[in-house]
Amino acid sequence: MNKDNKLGFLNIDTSLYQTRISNKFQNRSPYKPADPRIILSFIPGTVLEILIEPWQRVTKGEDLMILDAMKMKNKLKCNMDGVVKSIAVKKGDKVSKGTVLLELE
Amino acid sequence: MTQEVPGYRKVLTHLQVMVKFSSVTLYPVVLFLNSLLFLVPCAGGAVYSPALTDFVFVVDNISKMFITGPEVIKTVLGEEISMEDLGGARVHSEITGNAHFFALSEEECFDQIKKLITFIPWNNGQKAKMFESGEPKPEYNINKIVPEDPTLPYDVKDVIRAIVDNSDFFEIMELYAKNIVIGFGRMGGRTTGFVANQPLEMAGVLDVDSSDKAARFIRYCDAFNIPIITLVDLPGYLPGVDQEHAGVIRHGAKVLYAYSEATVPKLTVILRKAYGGGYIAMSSRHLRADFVFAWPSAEIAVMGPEGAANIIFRKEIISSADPDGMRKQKVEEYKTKFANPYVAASRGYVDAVIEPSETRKFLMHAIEVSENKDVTMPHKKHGLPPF
Repeated sequence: MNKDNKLGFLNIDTSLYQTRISNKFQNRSPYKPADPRIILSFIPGTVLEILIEPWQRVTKGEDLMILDAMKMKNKLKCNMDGVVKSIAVKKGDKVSKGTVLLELE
Repeated sequence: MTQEVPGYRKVLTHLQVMVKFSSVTLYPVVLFLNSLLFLVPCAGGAVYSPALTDFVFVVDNISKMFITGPEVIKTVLGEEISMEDLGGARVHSEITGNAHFFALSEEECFDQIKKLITFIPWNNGQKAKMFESGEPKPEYNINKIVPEDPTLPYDVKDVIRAIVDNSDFFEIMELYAKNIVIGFGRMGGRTTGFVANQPLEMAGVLDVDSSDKAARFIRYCDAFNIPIITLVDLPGYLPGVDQEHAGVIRHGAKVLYAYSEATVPKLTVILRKAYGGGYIAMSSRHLRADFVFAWPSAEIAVMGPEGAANIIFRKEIISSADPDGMRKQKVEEYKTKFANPYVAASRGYVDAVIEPSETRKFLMHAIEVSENKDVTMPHKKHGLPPF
């Protein structure tokens, strides 16, 4: 049943404990602060419309995309002033949660 | 899904009955997902039917549960996943924690159900049936299981088997959050619930999943008059951004809530480490444990010697000409002063420091003494556990 019977070490309060390390712990992704320049899809859905073009100047609060998800047409708003560097998706694409949609600069 | 229409209606009626039951926890509700007796697969709203029961049994390659099936996921997301990988028996036993018993065959599943029934009472007004008592098997030598060095692992299930009648321990949720062990055994013929940290897995830490697993089991025992024995050996809570962001505070608090709310007899044995918040959470005197025993190897302290020395003697260590030597000296000093059960015992947090070989005797006596424990709680509609 348990494929991974190897013992590893786990550091708790600077003491090293010899123990089995769970897959979940081993595969956890290290914390990265969110980058405001990268717009991610916050919900799984379909890209319904792209309202901007590459290298277009955008301002905070501007609508960038419409994401059709959970029977709602969700507007993705710009959270900073800048320029659209690249658009990673095209109209009609299905995206999962956390997919990169576009990058600002 | 050919049975879906009639089956669904059946589930809804069943659901109403169960909600009614579970709101007063009058009868234990056991349900198993099986091709012969229940829907395969169990999808959409129907999954709340098993989710509301006390125990869910699943059989490998037969049982499946999910809210949105692979078809919907494919249409909405374009992601392809099989039913088995999305919500198969193994997934619910290892990853989600929705299932309590995993069996490779239906026969094994039926045997598990038969065995569970022997441990639980018919309703919440009764106690579980008494069985004839039998000594634990001699191959589980309680003096030789736990290594003295608190950083070395061992299988805590062997300690349980060295304590319970006939070394017969019936584990629940064996594959989920393995860093805590829960299950039933008998002490002098009486059904007893066991909660134990497992140093073999993730050093036995409390984290989001293990707190969830333990808290629910404690509440189950409390609802059905089953005394709880807690075996403590943990370094504390699992540190990490993922844990903190997953709400380990709220989930960890469930264990404290469940223990302090429980009015069944609560017996605690501190085997080795009992550090900081983890010590408080594991059925300590502070959470109204009836009896707290500690082995001589117990270390009841705010944290492990290394961590504590680094913080408490920080100035001395930094200003010393030989910081490493100083650190070692301070760690030793802390170990001899605080890494023992006697400081806690002198304050009344431990009732007795006992030899490992006396554990069964002391626990059986404590269960006998607290047989008629009766606590009347103030009337309230319901408590507010950190769900």
